Amino acid sequence: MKKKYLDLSSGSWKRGLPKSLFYITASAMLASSLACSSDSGEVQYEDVKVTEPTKGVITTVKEVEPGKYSIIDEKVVEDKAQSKFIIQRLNGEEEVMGVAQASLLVDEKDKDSTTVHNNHVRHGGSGLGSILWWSGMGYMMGRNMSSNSYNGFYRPGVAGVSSDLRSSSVTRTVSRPVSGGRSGFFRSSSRGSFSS
Amino acid sequence: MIREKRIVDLPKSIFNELGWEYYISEDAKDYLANDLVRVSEKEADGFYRAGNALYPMLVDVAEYILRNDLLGTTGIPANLHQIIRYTWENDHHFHLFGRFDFAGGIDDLPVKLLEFNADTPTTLPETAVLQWLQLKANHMNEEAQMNFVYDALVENFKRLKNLNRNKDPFILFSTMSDAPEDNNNVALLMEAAYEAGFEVSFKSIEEVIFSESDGIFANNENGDPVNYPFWFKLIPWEYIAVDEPELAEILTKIVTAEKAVVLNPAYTMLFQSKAILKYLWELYPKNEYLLESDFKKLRNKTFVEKVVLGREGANVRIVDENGGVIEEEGGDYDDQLKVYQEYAPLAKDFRGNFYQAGVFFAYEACGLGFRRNNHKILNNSAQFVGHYID
Repeated sequence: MKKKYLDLSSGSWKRGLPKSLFYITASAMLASSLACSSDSGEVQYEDVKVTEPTKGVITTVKEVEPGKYSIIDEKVVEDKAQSKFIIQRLNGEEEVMGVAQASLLVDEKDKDSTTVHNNHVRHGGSGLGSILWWSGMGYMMGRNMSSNSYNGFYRPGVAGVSSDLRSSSVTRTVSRPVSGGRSGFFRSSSRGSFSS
Repeated sequence: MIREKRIVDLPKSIFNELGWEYYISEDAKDYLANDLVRVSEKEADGFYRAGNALYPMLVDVAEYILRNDLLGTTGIPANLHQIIRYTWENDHHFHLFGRFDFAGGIDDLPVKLLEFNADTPTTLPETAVLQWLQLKANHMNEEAQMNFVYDALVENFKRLKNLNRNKDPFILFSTMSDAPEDNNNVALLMEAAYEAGFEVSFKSIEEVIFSESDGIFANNENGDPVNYPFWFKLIPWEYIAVDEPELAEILTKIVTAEKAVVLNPAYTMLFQSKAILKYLWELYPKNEYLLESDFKKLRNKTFVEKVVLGREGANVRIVDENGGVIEEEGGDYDDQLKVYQEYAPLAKDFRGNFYQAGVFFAYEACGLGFRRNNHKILNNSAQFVGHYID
């Protein structure tokens, strides 16, 4: 048992101006309240969802011509840790990677859906990074669970696992009060606007 | 005589903006005084020192109670004893904050501890934010206040997180439904937790799911249960123990199996029970911040009779040295164990109001506010009065 509290030999109640964004926001609200005395506004709660998969994915791609790949199989596995990315090379070799290793192949531009779509249509294929991000593996790397995988990367007749993963995903709801959209007091995204 | 400064009221719309409409509701009419108490720097130092000196003493006394098997003498329901002992021994069950109630401290009266609200202290928005806004609205120096409650809470939520690195930082806050005043307190706590890096959610306790094998859950909007490793309840532990004994039992299993950290920890009941006043006096007799307290009536002095787990002045009697009742407040707690504490005079203003100081403690004393009533026993009709340092 070692409870935590301030060492008595130090400390002071004098702290200067409050610096927290909370106070900057409240201060701005006061200024606007004093300037105009409009009333209204009920407090509502805004839910922000964070969804993540509970199961894993094994995605297999085949090199169909040098540097171009197509997904030939994708399935859900119970244990997230068993997720794998399997690459069958043109020369017959097979390479297997876990999520962490595979994610090194993905860079920011691979995550842009418009770019991926255009490149694919124009060039008839795409690199491994964008396939990883826009297949079931992408969910393991943090892609939004509500986004769909990109069908163009799958060989005709091969189905992705989006719906299976989604149905078993968990969502944590972060609920924060907002003031009728007028002030955005508790909403982190709008705090910056009160910096004046 | 207390010196006050008359101030203009805060504009009503600021309460709407903050989402704290309770303060402008009919229930809270006149609750926020349009005066500020003048406090000298020396007096502010005194409150700060008193809080910082008392908390370590409370920790010593709680340890003394547990080591000497005195829990049964504190009036704390037996179905909380196991969870109290467990959380006391495991320091990641961290006490976020409490509020000392003091007599004196101003007007040349010595600071004296009346009690420590350790489990579910309220008046957070008033102390941390509203009295500071009063300074600003009245064009006063906003540094002239003993008030860094909010920053201290953020720091303590960070400490809580660091003490529990093995747990996801998801925290659920709960009050009982239809408790707008409590909700405002929780809204501020949620903001501080969020700033400290927690993901925060709110559900009234009626909707929270407790599983003795898996922990604490609340349904998300799809109806799927989400697990929360941290749960802050602005609901007194003794209400849980007495009104919902099954919940007390489940929470004991959840906490001792480390499925969740429940805040404030159950051991804060040791600080909260006024029985601790007797043991404080026993271990620190004649300490400058303490009043003589005992389980027996005090002889030859005016004393206050209190029930150990009473709230808002209920079941309190002030009795003079000849046994005459000076003032009395009824209530529902009369069957509880009683403590007798020497009476300490409260500071007064020219209208005859009596003032009690509230000092928040979160790792250190961090904020001062006052409540006042026109009688000596402050009850739930008391007004909140802010302060300024001059």
